[in-house]
Amino acid sequence: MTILILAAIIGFVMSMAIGANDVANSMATAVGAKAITIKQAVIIAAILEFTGAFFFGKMVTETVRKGIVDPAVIKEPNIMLAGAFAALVAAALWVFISTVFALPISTTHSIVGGMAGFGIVAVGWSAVNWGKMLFIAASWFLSPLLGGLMAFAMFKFISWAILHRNKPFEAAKKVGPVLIGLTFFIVMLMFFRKAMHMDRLQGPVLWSGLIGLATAIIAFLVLRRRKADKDEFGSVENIFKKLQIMTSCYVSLSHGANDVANAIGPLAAIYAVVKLGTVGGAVEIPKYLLGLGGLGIALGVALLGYRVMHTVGDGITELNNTRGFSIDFSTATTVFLASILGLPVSSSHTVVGSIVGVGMARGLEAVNFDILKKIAVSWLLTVPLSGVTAALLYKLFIGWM
Amino acid sequence: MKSSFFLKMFPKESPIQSLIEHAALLEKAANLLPGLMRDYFDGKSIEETVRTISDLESQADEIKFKIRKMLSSTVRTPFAVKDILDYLHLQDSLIDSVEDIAKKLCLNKVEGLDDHVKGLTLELVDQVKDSIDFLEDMMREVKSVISSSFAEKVLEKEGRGVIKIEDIEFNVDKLSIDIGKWLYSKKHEMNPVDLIFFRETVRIMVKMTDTAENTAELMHAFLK
Repeated sequence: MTILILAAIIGFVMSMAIGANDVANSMATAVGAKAITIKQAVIIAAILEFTGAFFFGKMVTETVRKGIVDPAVIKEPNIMLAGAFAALVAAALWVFISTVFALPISTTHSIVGGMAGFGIVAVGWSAVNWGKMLFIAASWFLSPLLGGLMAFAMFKFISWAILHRNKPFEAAKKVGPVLIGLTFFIVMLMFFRKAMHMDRLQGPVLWSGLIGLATAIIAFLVLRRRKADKDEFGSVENIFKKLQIMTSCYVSLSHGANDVANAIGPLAAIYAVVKLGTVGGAVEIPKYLLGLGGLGIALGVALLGYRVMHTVGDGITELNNTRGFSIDFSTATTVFLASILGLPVSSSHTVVGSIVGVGMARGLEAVNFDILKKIAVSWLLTVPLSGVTAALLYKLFIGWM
Repeated sequence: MKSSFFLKMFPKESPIQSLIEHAALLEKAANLLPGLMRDYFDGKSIEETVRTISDLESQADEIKFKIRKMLSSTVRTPFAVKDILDYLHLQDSLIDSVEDIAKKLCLNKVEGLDDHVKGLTLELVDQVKDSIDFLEDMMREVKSVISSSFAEKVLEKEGRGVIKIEDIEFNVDKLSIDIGKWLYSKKHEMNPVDLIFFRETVRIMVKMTDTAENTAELMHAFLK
């Protein structure tokens, strides 16, 4: 029980760090574009991060809990307790180090590496579900790639459907509501399927379609009366300024859904052992654990996100709203999709992929590609480093136990 | 904080913004040319204006080095690095020419110019200044081009800038021929050194409009 309480505390602190560090990914573009104030961004992000974690966090949490190290091959409950705890502490350590030294180390990669590291040391190479690991590792490459491709396509679509038209503002008044409807359709479809557990496809598609259509109609009615200023392209950007609030919310929601697992996955593994007294038994992750992670992320956003938003908001004032929309939409959809598939991906890396995508579509005045090298180094180093850290900590903890 | 991770994707200074600043310095220097030439003809002191032009050229040089440094790193813009460097080279040669004219005028006082040729020369200088003004406008509009995602109607506006500079270049050619004819008609009256000096000064100005036209055409080509 003591280890469960300790893990809950560390998991909670870690989720706070995740919230504080990653709030920039969701709200930076909207704050930078002055679509919302920092205070509004922090409040919105806190609420939606919690919502994402609580309603959609289960799939990825299950992957971290039992997808990387197969609980069936671990005979002793103590091994799982010490191992999951070691993975959690190792990941927390790396989050701390990356926060202090501003390193592009992904929390997701740390926790996956940590779980694998303890599994190898405790049982051997066979403890790790290598098929799943390969799938997860592939998703780390694929998520920035997918984010980039989607952002490229989205920005090209906005260019074609709006910016290149004779009357861009009038085009934006028509296309904008469609994009809003599409976003709501995706979010609601996932909500009905995964949070409401509506297994048949027909019902969720119908309901999500209706909600998407309703939001599109509302948006159309709101935008209908707006008139273009002298600067027509500026007026288009103003429409997207409002749309960006929605996509920023979408990023917060998807981030909460995916990243809560980094803090709660190992905790859920410890909970399962404490609850059953054995390893490998079937146990449902209680909602309050996801709620705890969601609350931690929300609190991290609320308490520490302000400073992060200040820095980021001032730093990217040059980012137009159409670009911000494309980046946010693609990041959120990619991370959300990964969450639904139970794949722990790095939202930071996906954002980077999306920014590069818009840059490749000639949408940005300047992009610094230098960070890509750092990401490549981070990909190569994070998993082994966190794996070794978790393995060492496991040896220490198992000795104590 | 890891937020810098996001921020680092967006460089604090972009090569395009720096090119705009470089063009603004060029325009500032070119706008001093008509006054400089008037003062020169009136026999007034031009030292102060020459110093100001030199300062502007030095500032432009600093920006030039900054842009080169940015482009040699991993900062990417919607344009090919080579296109930007070629453009920068041409734009920089224009401000160098403004400085050349200013410094040249400090060296010698041409005698024997009548009001007719002075009028033609002042008209020529005004045309040179206008060509640079249009070029600077075009450079500033590059932001709108990117912002509109290279929309045809914004590109057409840029295209109109090229046509305006081409028209100026045509006028400048005509003026230079008139000045040339006047000069050679005075070959028996004017000091040959003064004649060659003045001819060279006019030629620099003519070359400036040529370069402004080429610069504008290059910009229009890489914007497409």
